[in-house]
Amino acid sequence: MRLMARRLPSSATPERLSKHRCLNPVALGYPVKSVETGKRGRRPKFRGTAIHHLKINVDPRLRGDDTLAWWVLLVFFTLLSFSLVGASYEVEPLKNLDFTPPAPGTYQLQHIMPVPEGTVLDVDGAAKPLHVFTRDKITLLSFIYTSCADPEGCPMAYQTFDDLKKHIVARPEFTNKIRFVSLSFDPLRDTPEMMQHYGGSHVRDKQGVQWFFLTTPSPEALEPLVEGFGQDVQVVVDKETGRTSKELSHVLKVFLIDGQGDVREIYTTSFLLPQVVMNDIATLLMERQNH
Amino acid sequence: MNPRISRTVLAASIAMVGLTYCSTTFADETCNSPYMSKLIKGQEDFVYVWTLGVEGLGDGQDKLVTIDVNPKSKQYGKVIASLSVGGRGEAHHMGFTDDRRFLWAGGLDNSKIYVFDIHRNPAKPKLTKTITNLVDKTGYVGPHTFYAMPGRMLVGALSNNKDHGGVTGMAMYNNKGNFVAKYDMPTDNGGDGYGYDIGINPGKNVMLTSSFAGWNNYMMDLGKLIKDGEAMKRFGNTMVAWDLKSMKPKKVFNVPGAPLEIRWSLKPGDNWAVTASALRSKIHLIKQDDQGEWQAKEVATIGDPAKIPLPVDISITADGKGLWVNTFMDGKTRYFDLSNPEAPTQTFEKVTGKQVNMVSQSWDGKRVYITSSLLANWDKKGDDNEQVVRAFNWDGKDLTMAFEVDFNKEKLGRAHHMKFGTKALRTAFDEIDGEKVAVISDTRTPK
Repeated sequence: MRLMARRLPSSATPERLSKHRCLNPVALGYPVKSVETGKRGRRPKFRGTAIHHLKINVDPRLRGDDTLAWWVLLVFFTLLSFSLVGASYEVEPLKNLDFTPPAPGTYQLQHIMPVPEGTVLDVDGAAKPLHVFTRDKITLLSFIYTSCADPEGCPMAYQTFDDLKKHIVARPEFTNKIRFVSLSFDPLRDTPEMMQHYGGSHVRDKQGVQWFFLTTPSPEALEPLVEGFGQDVQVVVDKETGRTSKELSHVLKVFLIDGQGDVREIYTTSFLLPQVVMNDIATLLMERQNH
Repeated sequence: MNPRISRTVLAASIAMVGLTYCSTTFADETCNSPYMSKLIKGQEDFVYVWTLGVEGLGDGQDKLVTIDVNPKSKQYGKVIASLSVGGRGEAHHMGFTDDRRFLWAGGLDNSKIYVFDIHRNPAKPKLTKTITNLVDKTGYVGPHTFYAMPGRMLVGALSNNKDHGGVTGMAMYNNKGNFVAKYDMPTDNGGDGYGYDIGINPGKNVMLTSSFAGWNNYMMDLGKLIKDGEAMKRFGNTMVAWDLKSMKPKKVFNVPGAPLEIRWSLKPGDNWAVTASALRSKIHLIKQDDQGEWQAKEVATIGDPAKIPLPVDISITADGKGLWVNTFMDGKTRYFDLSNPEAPTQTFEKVTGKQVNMVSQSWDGKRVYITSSLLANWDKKGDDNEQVVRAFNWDGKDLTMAFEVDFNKEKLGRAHHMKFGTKALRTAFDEIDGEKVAVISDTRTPK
């Protein structure tokens, strides 16, 4: 396989790119849990939901022997830390649907297709077979790229996973039985380090649901995964000039995968309803118990 | 760094820049599945016509004909590609996969399903797969409707291999063409087991199906069929509301006279659909009542039912306020005002052919296309057996013909179902000159 491009769009300089990057849902108005990170990486402008460590700038007047002030500060940050933890796992009720979905276990999810084989990189840069991340547990997998700017696209998948994680953590019967995978479309820009930034605190958080942020070593390694999942990526062409533009088009899909590595449901934006996804997960868990 | 490698890396990097500007498209095209993406909301470039082969005419095979319909093109109104599929099996309907990369088309007689790649070179479709296991996997005969679901295709059949009657079902395949599941049409609680069209409303978790007739009827000569009283009883008289998630039938509606195409209103907030019954010439509305119960009721009459105008296709406008209706027997294209879906009223009609079947409109409603063929054995005979695709411009008051392609003269066959194509999209993972290309970021026309 070869890669080709014969013209460098004048607008595609690194400086221009950084202006267009929208690294995570924060910039799109989703809830922010932390606004500053001390972590340095290839993308210093990153403003993730991750809480790596907070910089605390203490007023000099509060230093020294002002014991009361220190106590106030201690209590304040203790409360703050509780509130942050609480905020991280605050479970809002699932939104009302415009219909009553069938109860878990009363319907069958079909075996749509097996997950394709391929090599992926984890956030530490280790190359592993994809099936390491799609077998034994129930998996929700979505293709994303960290620069996706369409609020109905990748950020929506991120936000949906984030919401689902809270609900899953709140249900003990789901604990440690489900994983999330966000797999990048964009291996040349989304390096393992970039994916680690994107994942933020979710990368190391193993409470209830593990969320893996994966990329691939190259476009060549990505292609069979994209094709295998049937995830389209198309180039928009200017019909007047015949030139391909900077714009790509794809349909957001989230794949529900059972413990044997079979895709059992595929959600698109118009059918990405958390309550339905929760019911589908419960249905697969019941199926496992019955076998 | 090696300049060649450097260039490659740079090229790939720039190619990936495109991802920054990704657009995710999703919504309805006026007659497509709600899961369909990449709607053509501007000028369509191509009309693909699934065409029945005619013995002694050209190669006699069923074929996918591509017509250039962009007025700015030098080939406007001309056939630019014709892809024969190797035989004649009663070509009928087509449907896109959810990502609009592939077009599936069926044969009502041979029960084959043809998968055409339309994204690598939209001007020249390529047959990539022929699915031949429908009957073996399901017992169904006559793949009719191809309705996109996420990563899958739901195929509505018309008949079965036991008695070739109308009791049938739906088959689900994944987008790679592998069989996934089958769903029988209900034969209890008022169900007659017949099938035809499919229409999904994901926001309501409801799927509607309609009903037509089995192989014995649709392969019979129409003149003979009309005189056969017993055969005339073997038409579908029901619609079914399904729980979409569980794919289980929830309610059977009595909609007599072969309810055919199902069109959900595309206007946000609307949650109603319409259908037209071919034999009784009525428009029916399917809508929830005040208690949230789905109901079907007759809301309008099409022409004079005593003359059996035979409404065979309908096309709803993008705003849900208008409905084109083609009536086969009198060759008329009619427009109904749907502003009040409880009481549609006809506001326009025009004879657009000696026999007319399918009607398709552009997203903006300014262009309307019609075809002529209903079924090989139901089409008119002699001089009335006109076989055409006609394009019209619609100014809100009149249809003005823009061009026509005479399928008899071109030795192509019987023009049936139409789908639009665009050259505005092409795959990011391509194969050019036999070599795989990861991502293209600039002009390159494949051979």
